[in-house]
Amino acid sequence: MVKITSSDNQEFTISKEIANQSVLIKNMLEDVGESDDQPIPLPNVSGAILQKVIEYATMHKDDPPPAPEDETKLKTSEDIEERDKEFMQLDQGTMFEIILAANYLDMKNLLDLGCKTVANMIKGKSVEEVRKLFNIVNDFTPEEEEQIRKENEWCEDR
Amino acid sequence: MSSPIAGPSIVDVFNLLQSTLTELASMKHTLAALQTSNNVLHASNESLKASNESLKATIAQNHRQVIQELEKLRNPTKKHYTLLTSLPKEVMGVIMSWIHPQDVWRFRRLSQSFKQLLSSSGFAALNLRRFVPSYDPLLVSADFKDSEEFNGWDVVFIRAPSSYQSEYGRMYLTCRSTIKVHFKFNCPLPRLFIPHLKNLTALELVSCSLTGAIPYEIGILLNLQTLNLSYNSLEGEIPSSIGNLVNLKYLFLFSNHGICGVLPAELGCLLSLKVLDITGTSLMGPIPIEIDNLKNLIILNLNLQKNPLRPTYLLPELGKLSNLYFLHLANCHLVGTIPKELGNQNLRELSLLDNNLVGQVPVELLNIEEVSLKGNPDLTIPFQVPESWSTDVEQQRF
Repeated sequence: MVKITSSDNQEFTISKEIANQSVLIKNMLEDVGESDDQPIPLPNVSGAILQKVIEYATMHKDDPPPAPEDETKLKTSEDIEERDKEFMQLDQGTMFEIILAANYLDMKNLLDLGCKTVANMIKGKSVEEVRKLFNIVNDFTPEEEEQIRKENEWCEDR
Repeated sequence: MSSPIAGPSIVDVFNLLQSTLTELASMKHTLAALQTSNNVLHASNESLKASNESLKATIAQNHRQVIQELEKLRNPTKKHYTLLTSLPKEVMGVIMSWIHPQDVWRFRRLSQSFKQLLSSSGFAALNLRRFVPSYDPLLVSADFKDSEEFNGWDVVFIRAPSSYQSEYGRMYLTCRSTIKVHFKFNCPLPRLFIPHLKNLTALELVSCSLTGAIPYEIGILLNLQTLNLSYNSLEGEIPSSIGNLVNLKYLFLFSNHGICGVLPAELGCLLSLKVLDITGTSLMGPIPIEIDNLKNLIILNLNLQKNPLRPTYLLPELGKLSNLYFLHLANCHLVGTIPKELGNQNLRELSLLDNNLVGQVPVELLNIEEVSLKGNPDLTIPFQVPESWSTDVEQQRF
């Protein structure tokens, strides 16, 4: 078993196969060796988020190892398992925190899932809708925005 | 008494000269003064322009600050709430890369940081990899890489913004041997593709509404055997770099009325050329003498505009092109006589319709099966005209 602590000092005890889904923790474990039972500090992740991340890792602990990347076969952001879709039904803040944690912990599958989920929220929406949905501040002057609109002929700006 | 020679005296002339000189000097002075004041005006105009630019930049900067301040005031509670825009740039790149290139491009309008991210070549590469199928050249047969499957993507990226255009070229075109597309692009030839087309043997963009000039870079496509850009709206001169294409066999530029200038001498460097068809352009004669290098030429089809500086003669050198089968020089403003050398070869079809040729038609031309000489009223034919010929003097036949 492996002990990890969050930024707000919550301690979690997890199995090695769960811990190994994070390349960051896996490398740390290899560095410090088996004998050390000091908890691994994860100062960039809060307890609440770490809880969710462990939930995801537990759900996927029996997954077969990923097949080698087939470059000729294209994947789309729609390729998401049903259980993962349910897992990602979160408020925006939590969702982005999980993406940040997956990035920090180096968990490729979770990061992928997070990115695809956000991409699916953006797809097909207008620029104004996306700005509103994600609180993106339009920091262009009207002239600058008009200029970009002109350069958008390629995609037929909606 | 005045001098015996009528008219003004030497003194008068001298005085006139002197007053003219004074006048000239004062005019010169005025001109210099005018020039100086013009320069001053120009400089102040430039500095006004510059200060205008910097004012614009300051306004844009202020605009941004005001918006940020407003946003802070509006959302005081959202201080600790993690936003999409607080994700690291590479993660943002991954998110956006899942959106189709033509759909994601418009999101540059979201904000400055999105614009910067989505315009980068790194993003274009990631985005392309998600959507355009790659292939392993070792596993996939040669005809697959040129299959129809890619045509659709070629159509998309020929018109693409520069970051996509060059990344598409780099990632997907370096192995390709042909690009053959029919689509109304209404844009120039994709210049940024060209450095990546080193393996290309055929570039065929017929009836594509291409605009602008033929890029000078075309000269680096050393493996090119077919260049067909006919039925477009290309303009300007044929770049001299065309002379680099020593493997070119087929050059079709017909029906591009904007292509102009003099027929380039560099055409004589295209030693592999079999077919040259440049009708329906605004190119001018004369035919360069270097054309006699093109020993492989089978078909030469030109119509040339009149060059106001140099007349276009029918070169005897054309007779040295021993493989030439079809020589079509209708409407080329040709002057002078028909050289007898033209009859000394394998030529089967010769058309000299509507020129200004004069003199006697050489009897050697009887070796050629089909000859069209109509529209040259000053030609005389000193022999019986074969039935397969068309001339102005058919009535003389009997």
